[in-house]
Amino acid sequence: MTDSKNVFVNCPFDNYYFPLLKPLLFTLIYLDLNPQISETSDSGVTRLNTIKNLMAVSKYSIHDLSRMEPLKRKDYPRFNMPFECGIDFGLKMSNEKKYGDKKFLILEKEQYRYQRVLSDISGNDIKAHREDPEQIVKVVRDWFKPTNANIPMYKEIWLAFNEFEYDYEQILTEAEYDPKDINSLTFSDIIENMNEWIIKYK
Amino acid sequence: MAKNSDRKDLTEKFRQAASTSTGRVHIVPSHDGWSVKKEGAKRATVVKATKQGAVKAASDLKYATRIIVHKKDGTIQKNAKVK
Repeated sequence: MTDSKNVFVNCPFDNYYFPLLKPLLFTLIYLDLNPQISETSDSGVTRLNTIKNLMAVSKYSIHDLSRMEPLKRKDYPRFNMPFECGIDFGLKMSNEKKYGDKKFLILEKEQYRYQRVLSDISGNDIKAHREDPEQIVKVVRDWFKPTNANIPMYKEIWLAFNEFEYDYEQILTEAEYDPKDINSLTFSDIIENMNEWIIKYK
Repeated sequence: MAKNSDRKDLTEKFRQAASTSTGRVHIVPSHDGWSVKKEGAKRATVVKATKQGAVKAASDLKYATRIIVHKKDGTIQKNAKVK
């Protein structure tokens, strides 16, 4: 059975995406949801199993497909995100009774670009974040609005995130970590720190 | 990566940071322009069309001891004491 508090997050895990990942995770935690992220693992098979297990317990999934183009001319595009998105759709379709209530939010950089490369997902909830951290807070918050009558306005979350950013930079710099490096802390550390901060803030 | 020994320490610092009552004022981007926001407040004190206008409004606030100016992506551009 899926848990309606769990949200599987499928996105690029690198320093270029980190300024978007932080507000994305922060928004989910602010909305009392539990982000489910796979920590890096050495074994490909284990990692894929972990991912499948996280999907299986998450009612909601956020798949960011914005990295369908390489960051630099000589780079390769990243296929992990569309691949994992496909697994999640497959899981839902494999057992309607068990996973039929799963809901997916597809994030993209531009609103209609997916139609040229992945037209099969037309008809799903696809929102553009324009690589703007404030916009990602808004689209994620707005997507969860029908599930929560008391959901705060996105601006409240964005303002809180800005304060968190200040504390995040100060505390990590003081502790001799690089706040701009996605690998400074594990995702579970980041989520735990956001959780503690938000509990006190609220 | 955080060592186990750091883990509790960092968690505690984050818990404390959010509850510290200070005279910090944040200048943050918003759809209407730039918001001046007292730390810990849920709403903006005032919204100005320009960043410069917001910084000026923040420095006029009696309780402001430190002004933290953010960039459009939410990261910190400047962190200065109020003269």
